Amino acid sequence: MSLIEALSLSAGYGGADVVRDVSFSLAPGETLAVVGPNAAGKSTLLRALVGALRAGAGEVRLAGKALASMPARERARLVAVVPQSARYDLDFTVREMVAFGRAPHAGAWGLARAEDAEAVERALDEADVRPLAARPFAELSGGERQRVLIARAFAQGTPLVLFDEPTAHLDLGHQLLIIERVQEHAARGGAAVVVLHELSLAARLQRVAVLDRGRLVALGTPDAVLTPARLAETWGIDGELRADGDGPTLIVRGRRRAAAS
Amino acid sequence: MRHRFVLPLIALTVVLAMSLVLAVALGAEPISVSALLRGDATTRLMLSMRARNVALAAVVGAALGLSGAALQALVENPLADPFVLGLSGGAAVGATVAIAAGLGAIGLFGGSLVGIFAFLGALVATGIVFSLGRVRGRLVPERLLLVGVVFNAFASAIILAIQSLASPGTLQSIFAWLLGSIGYVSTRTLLVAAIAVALGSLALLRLAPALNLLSLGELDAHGLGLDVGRTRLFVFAASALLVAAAVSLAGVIGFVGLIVPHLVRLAFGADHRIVVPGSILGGAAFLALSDCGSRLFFRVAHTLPPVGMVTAIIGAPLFLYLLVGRTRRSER
Repeated sequence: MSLIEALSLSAGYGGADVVRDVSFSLAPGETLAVVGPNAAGKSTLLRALVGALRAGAGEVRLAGKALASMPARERARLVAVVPQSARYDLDFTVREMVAFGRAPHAGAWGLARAEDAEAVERALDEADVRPLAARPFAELSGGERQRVLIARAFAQGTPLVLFDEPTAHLDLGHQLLIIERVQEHAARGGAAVVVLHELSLAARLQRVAVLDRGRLVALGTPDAVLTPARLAETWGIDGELRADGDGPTLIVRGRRRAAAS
Repeated sequence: MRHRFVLPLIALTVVLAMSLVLAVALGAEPISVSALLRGDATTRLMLSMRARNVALAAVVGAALGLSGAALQALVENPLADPFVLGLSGGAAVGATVAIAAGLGAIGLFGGSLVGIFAFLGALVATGIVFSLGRVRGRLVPERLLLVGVVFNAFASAIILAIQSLASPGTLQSIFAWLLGSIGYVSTRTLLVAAIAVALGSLALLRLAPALNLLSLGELDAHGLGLDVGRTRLFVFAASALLVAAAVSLAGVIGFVGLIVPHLVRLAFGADHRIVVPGSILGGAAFLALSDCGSRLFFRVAHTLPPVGMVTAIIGAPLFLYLLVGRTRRSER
């Protein structure tokens, strides 16, 4: 059974669809990169997949159940979201921020149990933020904050995790660390959808979905999808993806002359 | 997790107890302990009246402090409070209408219709401000604050209009009410208000973990399993109840809802499981002391200023000081 399924999903703001007719499914153990140019609808798709944005048409199913009629806590025990950014004018410490990941599992008065504390400590290590645990979230750098948000999603302990550009503010080492964690999560039987701009990182995941102006224009393995023709058509660049023994590399020769604009 | 909040709560309870004792002991006239022990009737009466005043100040302060904390989480902005968001303004319009229509004398559940109208006014204000503060169904905190400020100006205009039409006698009671003061209320009124505040407090104590998530922002709260729409509605209703209880008892008193949650967060961190009870205890202590301050002012100036003046004189500079500190930190 698939963990998440989008069936002819359309969603947008104020009646105008930003994402149109998107279908895909993800089984346990699978990772999917969602790539595309700016304003392609990647973040909108992610919001619709977690129900923060109501589907205009089509539907999303989580573990075989309709998302639209699922209680919020049940949903949050199935899927976690790593947002692009967070409010940082709050006086919470890093450990408190990560502990919020346990909210969907907590009892009535929000009191933590031993297993909650364990999950938080494990997540602090997984996202490499243990040295920051006692620091105020507000005082961290952009990249550190991003890792804290990733730790929070890990603490949530859901089979499915959606990441919205998790590597945008990260240094190279931490970019690779997060991709490794995503792969490990899948190896443990989870699944992940990761919105990415960096195509060489996207190529490290099992499948790649290309969004262009709200439509899913390609879906498959990185080799099959990220072809020179696709790079030219969707991004307007003259380049190619090389996947030799050293991991995938994106070669960019320049902007494509024939591309519009 | 549990023990982390025990010490702060004990500390705040001690602060509140000391504030209450101090507020009862100090006033326009000193209370003589020896006269009290002798069983002097005048002294006993004075003590009981002052104790009732202090209890009223504590109930109102708790309601204002707590509603400030709840609204700040609700609109994801530490600068929110019932006054800024227009809730107090709405309640004031409701109460003014009731007084002008001569409903002040009609009793209901031990309170008066003025209180009910204040509550309705707060609800209407909440509804207006929160529906205009949305864009495409999403709450936009900055917009909400702006709408609140404009609504307050509008509410003031309505109150002025009613005042200019009112008879001198009615005008006086509207004035006395709007000034925001801890005056005489009947024991029944005090009890009814205390029960309303206790209910609102219980609801928000129960919602404290949800307030944590709400304060993170809509998307995060949703992702962490909160039913954002429903929770907001509950927090709204509880805040409106608290503000209405406070406003109908003591008129419009500013700055308590702004300052108290700020100080609690500064001392004990941002977790609402401490901010909520902390704002209840701290708000009660702050207003009891402010009321005491206004009575001490009488000793010097031989006139009793409204307690709203005292909270503003303490609150405004303190708030600016905290704001500057916060801005410095976020720029670092």
